[in-house]
Amino acid sequence: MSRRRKERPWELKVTWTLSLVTLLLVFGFFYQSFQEMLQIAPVQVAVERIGETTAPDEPENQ
Amino acid sequence: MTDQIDSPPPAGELPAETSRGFPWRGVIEGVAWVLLVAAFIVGQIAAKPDYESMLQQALPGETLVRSEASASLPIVYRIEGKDDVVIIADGEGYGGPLVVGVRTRRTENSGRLAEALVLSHKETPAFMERLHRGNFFRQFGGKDVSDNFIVGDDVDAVSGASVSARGLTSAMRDAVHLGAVNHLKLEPTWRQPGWNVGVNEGVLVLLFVLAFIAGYRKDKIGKYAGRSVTVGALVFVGFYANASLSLANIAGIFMGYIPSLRQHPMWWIMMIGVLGSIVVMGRNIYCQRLCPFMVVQDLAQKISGVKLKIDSRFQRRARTLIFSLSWVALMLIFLTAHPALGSYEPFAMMFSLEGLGIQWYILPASLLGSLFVPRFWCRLFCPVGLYLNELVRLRRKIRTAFSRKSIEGN
Repeated sequence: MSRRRKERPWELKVTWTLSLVTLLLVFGFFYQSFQEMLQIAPVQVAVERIGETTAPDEPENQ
Repeated sequence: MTDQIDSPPPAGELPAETSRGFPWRGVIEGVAWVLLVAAFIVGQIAAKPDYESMLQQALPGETLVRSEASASLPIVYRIEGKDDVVIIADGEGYGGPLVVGVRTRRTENSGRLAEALVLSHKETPAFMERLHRGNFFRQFGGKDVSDNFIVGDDVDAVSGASVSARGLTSAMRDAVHLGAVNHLKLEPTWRQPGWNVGVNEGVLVLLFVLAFIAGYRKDKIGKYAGRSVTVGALVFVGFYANASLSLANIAGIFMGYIPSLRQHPMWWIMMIGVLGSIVVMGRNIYCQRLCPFMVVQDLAQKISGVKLKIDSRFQRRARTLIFSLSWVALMLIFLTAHPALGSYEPFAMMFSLEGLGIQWYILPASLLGSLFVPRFWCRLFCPVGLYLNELVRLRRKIRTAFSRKSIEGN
């Protein structure tokens, strides 16, 4: 029969801290996403633009 | 060194539901569902971008004249006073549709792609960043309209963002070739894209086969298969293909962002393999074998050799915690119609080393947690694991109900 070891106070402190820190960061991410959501304008300027000027440089005299 | 404790549960295996004695639970759940549906409807209504205004803003000084009254893409515009056309077309990305506006210009014998604008996309910022760094966009500048515009042929993909690259190329191909035929009156000389089935798809199928073998056989062959899958999951699914399942994938399905089998067979292989293993075998094979982040956490755990226990109060509430987190994430996703905005997992950062803002801190925090607590992320934060395990539970319930009925029938 397997014997379950009782948690030690310092272990609980470490795991609680780690879990809460990660949880806070996830909420921070949600806040960041919420801010981005508010910034989405009804009309966006193009996200990306590829023009003839962005063509890769071709070697000369070939 | 800590004492030996109970072995860690498999990834995604969460403690049983603890719903007893909470009278408002039903009401809260009902309100949560109503809000999710409302967010979905609002998001769908608000996510109808005005592409014409976007083009007008991006091409100042040009007068666009719409040539056809078609409401759906592709839409063709002539530029007044010039021999140019701008065509808006869409392709399928990893997170949803990618919309591009392509300007083609007549040359002496043919035409060329003069300008292309990515008007909207639902990709994880890390994927777009990869395309930038891989100079993906540069290869389209000045391209002839008669070119094939096929990834792997005349367009190079970018490793780790190949689905986005294919989606963008497909949108540009549709737009350019439509312009070539309708506006420039060219005969199609370009090659039609075939099925995107190659080595990558073969490797993914092989990984699933090995995962099944490892799950069923307990002998040497099973052991070798298990080890191969672990390496394959980390190297191929993680670092090479960056194809970890995330909340964005699940939300994308609800929003109808389902890529075509022809264009993205990898997505289909992944979904069929993961859901098929649940339906047919009742096993969450993704979390058990194929999740590359699980492998990373196990490695971190092996390096540290420390196995701390999660506080039992925290562990008991893990299921509710993940449900709550994924609810917030889904609200954001549905309101913005942008799956990447709510996907809080650190997978993209881990395997592409690209992220935005606070996402960068979630990765080290979860890795640090894994150094001390076995499968820290899987057990306390991963929504994919939770949902897949819920499907396993649902299957089990249905099966039990059927067997009860058949016993009662006999």
